[in-house]
This record gives sequence, C-alpha cells and structure tokens, in this order.
Amino acid sequence: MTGYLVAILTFVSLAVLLGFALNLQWGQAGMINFGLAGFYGVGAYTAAILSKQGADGFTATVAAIAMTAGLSAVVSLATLKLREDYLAITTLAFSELVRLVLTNETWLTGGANGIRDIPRPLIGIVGGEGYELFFLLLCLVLVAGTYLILERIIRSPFGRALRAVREDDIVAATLGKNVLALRVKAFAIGGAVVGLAGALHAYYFTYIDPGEFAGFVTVYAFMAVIVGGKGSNRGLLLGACTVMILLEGTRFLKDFVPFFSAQQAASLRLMMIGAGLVLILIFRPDGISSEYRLSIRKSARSELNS
Amino acid sequence: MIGSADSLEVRNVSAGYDASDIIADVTFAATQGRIMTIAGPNGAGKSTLMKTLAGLLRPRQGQILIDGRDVTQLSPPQRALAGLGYVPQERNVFKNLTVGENLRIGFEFIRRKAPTGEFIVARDRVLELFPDLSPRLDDVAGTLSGGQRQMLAMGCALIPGPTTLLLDEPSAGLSPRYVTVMMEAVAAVNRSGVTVIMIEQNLIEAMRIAHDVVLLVAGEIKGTWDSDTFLSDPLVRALFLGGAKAAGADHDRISDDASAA
Amino acid sequence: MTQALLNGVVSGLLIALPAIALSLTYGILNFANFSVGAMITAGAYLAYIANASFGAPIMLAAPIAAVVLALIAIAIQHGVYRQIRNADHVTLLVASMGVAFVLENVTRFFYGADVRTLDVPVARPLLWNGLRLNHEQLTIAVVALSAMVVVGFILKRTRLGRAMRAISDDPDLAEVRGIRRARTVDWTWALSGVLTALAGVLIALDGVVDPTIGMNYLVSIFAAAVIGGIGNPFGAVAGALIIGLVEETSALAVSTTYRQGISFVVLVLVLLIRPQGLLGGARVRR
Repeated sequence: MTGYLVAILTFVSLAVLLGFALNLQWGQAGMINFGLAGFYGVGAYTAAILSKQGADGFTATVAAIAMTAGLSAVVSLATLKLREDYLAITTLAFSELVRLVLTNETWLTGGANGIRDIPRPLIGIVGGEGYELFFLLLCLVLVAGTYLILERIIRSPFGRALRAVREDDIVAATLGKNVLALRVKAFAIGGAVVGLAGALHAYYFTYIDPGEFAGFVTVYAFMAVIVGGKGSNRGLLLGACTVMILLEGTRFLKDFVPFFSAQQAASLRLMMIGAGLVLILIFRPDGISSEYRLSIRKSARSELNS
Repeated sequence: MIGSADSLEVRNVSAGYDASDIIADVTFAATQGRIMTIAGPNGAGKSTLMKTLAGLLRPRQGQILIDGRDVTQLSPPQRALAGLGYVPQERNVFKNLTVGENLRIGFEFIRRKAPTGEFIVARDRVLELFPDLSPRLDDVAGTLSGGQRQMLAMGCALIPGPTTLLLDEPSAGLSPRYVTVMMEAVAAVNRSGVTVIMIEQNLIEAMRIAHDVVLLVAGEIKGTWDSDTFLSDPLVRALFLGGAKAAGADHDRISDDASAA
Repeated sequence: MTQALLNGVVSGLLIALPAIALSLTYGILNFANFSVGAMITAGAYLAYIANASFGAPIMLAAPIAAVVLALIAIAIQHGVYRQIRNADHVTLLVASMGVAFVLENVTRFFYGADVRTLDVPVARPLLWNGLRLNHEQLTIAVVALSAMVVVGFILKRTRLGRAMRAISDDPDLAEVRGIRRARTVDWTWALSGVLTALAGVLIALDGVVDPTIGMNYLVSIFAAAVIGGIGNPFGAVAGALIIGLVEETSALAVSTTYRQGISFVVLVLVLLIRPQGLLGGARVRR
C-alpha cells in the first residue's frame, strides 16, 4: 500500500511540474503549448541517453533542462507575432516530429523499443531498498523549489510584464516592453521545467519508449491547469490531484467491469480524460481558484463576456 | 410624444459593455414616417444606443418596440425581419464579396420566400437611388471608394424594404458631393414612407432633412425638439453646441464610445 | 520525378478535402479545429462499419459515413462548442483538443488498435507513358475533384454559401443583414463532416483503417490550410496541392516516415515569411 502511495505521489509530482510549466507558458504568457508531450519526451530521452553513456544524474538532468529549454525557445520563435492558434499548431507539429524521431532513429533512441535500464541517480549511495521513497522526497523538494522560483517570477516585474503582454500586446509594446523577448523567455523557462520533469520521469521509470510521450500527457496537463484555474500554481496542486484521482480511479474500472479488455479500459480512461477536459471548459472554465491578481478584475471580465 | 403611431419606441433602456452603463435610462420615440436625428457630443453614447437598437448589444434594462412590437429580446436577424434596417458607421459592407452579392445578401435573408424576380426589381430600385453602383456590380466591395461603400451599405439596408431605418453617421468621411447624394437619398427614402433615425455629426445637413431631434449627452436623453427650433434653443447651446464643458465632462466616456464604434 | 509529381497531385487532392473543412470552420467559427484529424479517423471507421460489418459496397458506405459524420459534427457543435460560455478562440481550440481525444478513443474502444481494411474490389493500376496511377489514386482524384466542385458551387452560387462567406467576412454585419448564425454554423459543420469522412474513406482505400490514420495527416492538413491562408477554402486547395507535391518530391531525398516533418518545416517557413498565406486569410495577427 505504501508503495502504491509513493508511486502515486511521484506521478503527481511529475504532473505538477508539467502543470507549472503550462501555467507559466499559457496562464501567464498566454502561449498555447499543444506539444507539451513532445518536449517532455525530449527531456526524458536526453537524460536517459546521457545517463546510459555514463553521465551522472545531475549533469544529465541539467542537459535535459537545457535541451528542452533551448528547443522551446526555438519553436516559439516562429509564431511569436501571430495568434495563439499558430503556436498551438506549431507545437503540436513539433511534438509529432519528436515522436517520429524517437520512433525511427533507433541508433539514438532505441526506436519503438525505447531505452531500458536507465541508471538512477545516487542509487549507489541510497541503495535499492528505500530508493522509491528517496526519489519521491527528491521530487517533492524539486517541486517545492520550482514552485518558489516560479512564484517569485510571477510576482516580479517580469511576471507583470508578461501578463500585460498577454492581455494586450499592442499596448504593452507601446509601453516599451520587448514582447518577443518576454515571450521567448517565458516559453523557455516553462520548457526548462518540462525538461526537469522529463529527466525525473526517465529516472523513476528506468524505461521509456516513444508511446509514453503522446497526446494524453498534454491533455492531462491542460486539464490539471484548467481545473486548478489557469495561471494559479496553488490551484494546480488541486488540479493535478483531481486529474490523478480521475486517472487512478478509472484504473480500477477494470476490476468492476470485467468484460472490458485491458485495451478497452485504457481507451475508456483516455476518453474520460478528453471528456473531462471538455466538461471543465463548459462548466468550470475558470477553475476552482484563480490568479492572484484577484476577484475584482475577474468578475468584471466575466461580465464583459456575458 | 409616445403613442401608437410610433415606428420605434425606446423605454428606459440602459446598456454598456462592461460593468458600467454607457447609456442610462434612455426613453424616446420616433414617429412613423418622420426623420429623427440623434445629436450629442462625442462619447455621448450615440453609437452604443444604435447598436442596442439594432440588437448587437443587449440592454441591461428597458424595452425597445418596433411598430408596437416588443423586440428587446430579439436577435438582429429577427429585428431585421420585423422591419428594422441598420447601416453601421464602419464595417458596413462585406469587403470580400462583390457589390452584387452584397445587395443579394441584403435582400435574400429577410425576403426569404421572394423569387429572384422580386430581387431584381428591388435591386434596380436601389440602383436608381445610387446609380454610381450600377457599373460596379461585379466588383469586390473592398475596392470601392468611401462614398461608394456608404451608398452600398445604405442600399443593402434598403433593399429588403424596411419600415424603420437606423443610420449611424451616413455622411462620415464623405466628400461634399457624396454628402449631398446621401442626404437626398435619405430624404427620398423617407418620402416613400420609411421612418429614419440617424446619428449625424454634420448638423447643418441633418437639420435640412430631419423633422425631429433628440439630444443625448453623457448617456442621457436631454430632450426632444423640432428640427427648426433645435439649433436656437439656449438649453441646447449650453449642453452641446457652445458647451465645451459638457463635452469635456464626457472625456472618459469618449474612449468607451470609441471602442464601441 | 514525374511519378513523384503525379503522386503529389493526388496526395494534394486528398489533403485538400480536410484542409477545406478546416478553413471553413476557421473562417466562420474563428477557431482552429484540432479534431479534424480525429474526424477523418471517425469517418473511415464509419465507412468500415457500413462496409465490412454490414456489407455495403464502398460506393454506399462512403456517403453513409459522410452523412453520419455530418450529424455527429453538428451534435458536437451543440453539445460542446455552443455550451462553452466564454467562447473565445483559445477555449474552443482547447475544447477541440478534448473532442479529438474522445473521438479517437471511442474508435479505439470499439475497434482496438488493430489494422483493418476496407472491402474493396482490387483493380490493376493504370499505366501511361511510364507513369503509374493505381485505381485508388484515380478514385481519390475523381472524388476529391468532384467534392471540390460541389463545395465551390455551394460557396459561390447558393444562399448558404453566401451566408458562410458573409459570416466569415463580418459576423456582426451578417446578423444585421438577417443571416441566422446558428443555422449556418450547423451547415458548416455538416459540410466539414462530409469532407473529412470522404477523406477518411479515401485514405482507407489506399491503405488501412486504424486509429492513427487521421492523426498522421494533421500536420499536413494544417500546413496546407495555412499556406492557402487559413479561413480561405479556395486557398486551402492550392495549399494542399503544394503540400502534396512537396511531400512526395521530398520522398525522393528523405525517408517517407518524415513526411510530416517536411510539412512541419514548410509550415514554419510559411509562418515566418508570410503567415497570412499565399492567398491571404483572416485574423492572423494577435
């Protein structure tokens, strides 16, 4: 039972990190990243490949972070001046390209079979027994640290500038904000967090394959972010837990409804996630809590939309 | 002056775009078969009022009646079917469609069951009113000059045969020749029985053809006048014509109205 | 090389159908429908059901799939998109992602990840002057061209088409001129459903039916629509032909697995150089 809890909490930590990234990119900077799963894969594979080559956990993780951040910056450059739809398309397309590369460049990525036996960082010191727990604690520390750093960023002038750009970039530009630089930075920082999550994913599971970094990761992240209230990191913690409960809850569906095959149960769960996303957008688009820039602005805005 | 011979009645209407109201508790009526001008300083809420009458903006309170029928809850297409025509100030033609298609659209969604023959007749009547459009039927509306676009916009509103016509600044940005053409067209349309309610900055021209004037200042109706007496009324001068103060007081409204346009 | 060009044209004609669908819904509803790939997959499966399970010949199965998908699309419009209060283009975009997910996994739920094929008579490819055109390609060309002619006719010569173009041009003015938005939107989705279902059937003809077939074309479809100027259905055809040609000719140099990668590169280039597309569309800049 404890083992199960530890596992769940570790998954939640990874989901929370992804949510943090999306909250920064989308919530704060208004940039839609439909390719989140692809960037996640880049982080995981970078860490995995380097670790298998002998790099230690720390170096490999830093490399994963750098790689993902760099690619994020580059991908976002193409569509910065355009409407959100275009970034959505581009990031999705990028994610597809990543999937293709991961599946086909067997010499580098192991192809569809993926990479096994990824060495876990500090396993020599911690040993096999309590590793899962150690890893969970490591994740929690990293989540807390990332949270603090991101909150700092959100409340900083940089964060304010981002929100100004998100609301009305023409006005922001007139006020002297370098819209392009702000957006690239935000997307890259988000990318860095995704890279971190990817590396942790690789170390935790010790086996990765291209199938894990598919669309559903992106949909979960969006759902968690929306449930928690776009832009709010505190709400995200609630959102990530909700999504995880939904996920894990449906896993037990199989036991109650035995005439579904494993494949069907999996599809059903994914269907419910998709439906969940749609339902959230219909009934609770503002999530449970909201941005720290509070309720007065929010209610005024919702009147505008009615 | 509210009675049953009113084409358009507005009762206690308030409307706005966000938490605040741009027009508040507006009440007036336009008598059938007459031309009414809505006058007022910039930012008074004239365009907002018109949008509310057309159905593009839901009033927060109040009622709007066309020919005695309550249309407050009706959408713009439904109001058009009820006999209301509207020419917005800007973006009043489909720029990517041809002149002929614009006119066809103006006709076919309101006179749905009418056969093509009737469309041709209605179109020719519009072209008589605005002969400049005849040679340009196959041209894309975006290539027309400002004056021609205004004429097309008015033509599209007229072609289905409305009973009440709303015009938002019909002469805005037009050269003197086109202004005359437009005003004459409005007068001609009115003579054929259409009630006209128009916003017109060019008060001299407007007074020439209008019968009644209603003054809107800072979102409130200040009164109704006969067009002969309007310009000489001291109250009007104080509130509007000489009243730089009155106009200035609306300074923060101006941006609201500008965004409304 | 000429063979590649021929293949490219056929491929382009195929992609043109969903690209038109995407442009239509973008122009009128003002959001990018990410579920277009999933709709293709759904269309293919619907045809498969009619064809393999009910024994309908493909000539009958295809229209059946088209009509059913059209109805499904309208249902989704009413059940999902219309229900979203704050219907700005971003929310609708994310919602279409959710819809795509549900559609894809519904098909997976019932049919698994197995590969299936349509029950179609086999025919010999046509040979002419050293060029090979197999029967499926001919079908694709004929069906796609016919569909495009019909769509063109609807847009240019019918009241519905004028309504669609008017709303695309200026939704408020369209309302003022008496056009009922909801009705026109329903018809737009219906048309979108028909086009994507046909594309699904055509793809399945030349290959297989599995849950990923629509997704495999998603990038190409978006690239095609963007090149033509998203929101411009006529441009989408040109864009699709270009993408088809680029993909097929690049196959001479690069492995075909990276077909979508090529489209991605083209997409990015177009967005950098001329985001409004070759023929121009609506609402590009923020």
